Amino acid sequence: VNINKWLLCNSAAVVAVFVFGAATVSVENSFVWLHNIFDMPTGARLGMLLIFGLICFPGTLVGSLLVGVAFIEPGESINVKLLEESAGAFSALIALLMMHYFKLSNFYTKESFYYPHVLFLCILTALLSATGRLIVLVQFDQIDKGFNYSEYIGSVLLSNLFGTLVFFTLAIFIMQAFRQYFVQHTTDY
Amino acid sequence: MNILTNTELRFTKFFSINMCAIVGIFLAGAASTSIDLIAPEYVGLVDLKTGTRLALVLLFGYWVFPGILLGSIGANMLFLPYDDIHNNIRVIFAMIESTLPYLALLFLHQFKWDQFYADSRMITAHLIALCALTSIMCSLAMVLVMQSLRLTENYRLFEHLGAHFSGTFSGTFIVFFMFIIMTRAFMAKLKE
Repeated sequence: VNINKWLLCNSAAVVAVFVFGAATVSVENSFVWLHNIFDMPTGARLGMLLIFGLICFPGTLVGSLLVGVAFIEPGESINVKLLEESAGAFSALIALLMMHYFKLSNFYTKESFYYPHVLFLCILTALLSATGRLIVLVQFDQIDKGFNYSEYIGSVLLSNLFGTLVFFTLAIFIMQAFRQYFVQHTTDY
Repeated sequence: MNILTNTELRFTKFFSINMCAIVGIFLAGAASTSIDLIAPEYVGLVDLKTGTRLALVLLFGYWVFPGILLGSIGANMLFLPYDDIHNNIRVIFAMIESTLPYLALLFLHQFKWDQFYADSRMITAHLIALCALTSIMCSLAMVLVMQSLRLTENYRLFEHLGAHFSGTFSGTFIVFFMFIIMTRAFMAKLKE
């Protein structure tokens, strides 16, 4: 592996996951009713893994851990937060590997992403992420008596789907625009 | 057979570009505010909004102005850190911030410094000039607004100018770095 390429991919992944995590925190703090509706770091993780491939996984993991450390809420345990973020990062990786294994990894068309497979990847990631987070919460005795499991899984699923939708819409739009810009301004393309 | 007419297609494109601009600038403002809160002593060190605005201006030109303006107003209303500023002034700041990248671009165009991409790479000198010009013009315009409202008693021009400079540079670098690398990888994947 070319080390420069590896470093560039991973630093882009760290920046993307961290920036979108920061944006999610700020939006959730400003609109309380949006709490747990947008989980954009998941979109960023999936986007990065699809665009750069599996080599950028360390970057997505580091970005997720940085989000966990930097935006910890008062009264929240840092161990739980870091493990939850790691579960989110690993769930994207495992979902991608599962889709490769079942030959459902045709994520690109000639012009853009192939959305049915991307959507399935997102749902799989959300399910794995919800399960992973739930295991972490159970292990650390963070579950109260009134905890509603189906509501929790539903909320994680919804937030991951919305977050992925927002990230992919923005990223595809801007990447296509940059692509056109490159083509227009390059003679040797 | 095309279901949409040309006018409808143009309107759809215009609408989607501007919606993306609104969401992009709003999220950039949100991310900048969160990053500022990590280390409050370095407020304004990363200004992703300006980087996003410059990228949108370069990519879409004048068509994206309404989106930039609305996104800036939304972000300034919710995420501008100064609590003692009235909402009208926040809107004025947003108008200034969204207009000045165009003025800076026009200025550079006059001096033939408006070629930002050639031979498959970004021309960093021109991009830095655009950043610098935008941040200087923004800072000076804000000083004028503050002066006219007599709010400059606790306002230190050079400190503000320096913070604006560093914020704009770092924000633009981050946005361009992220999206250019992503675009190159995306293009390579599509070729495969």
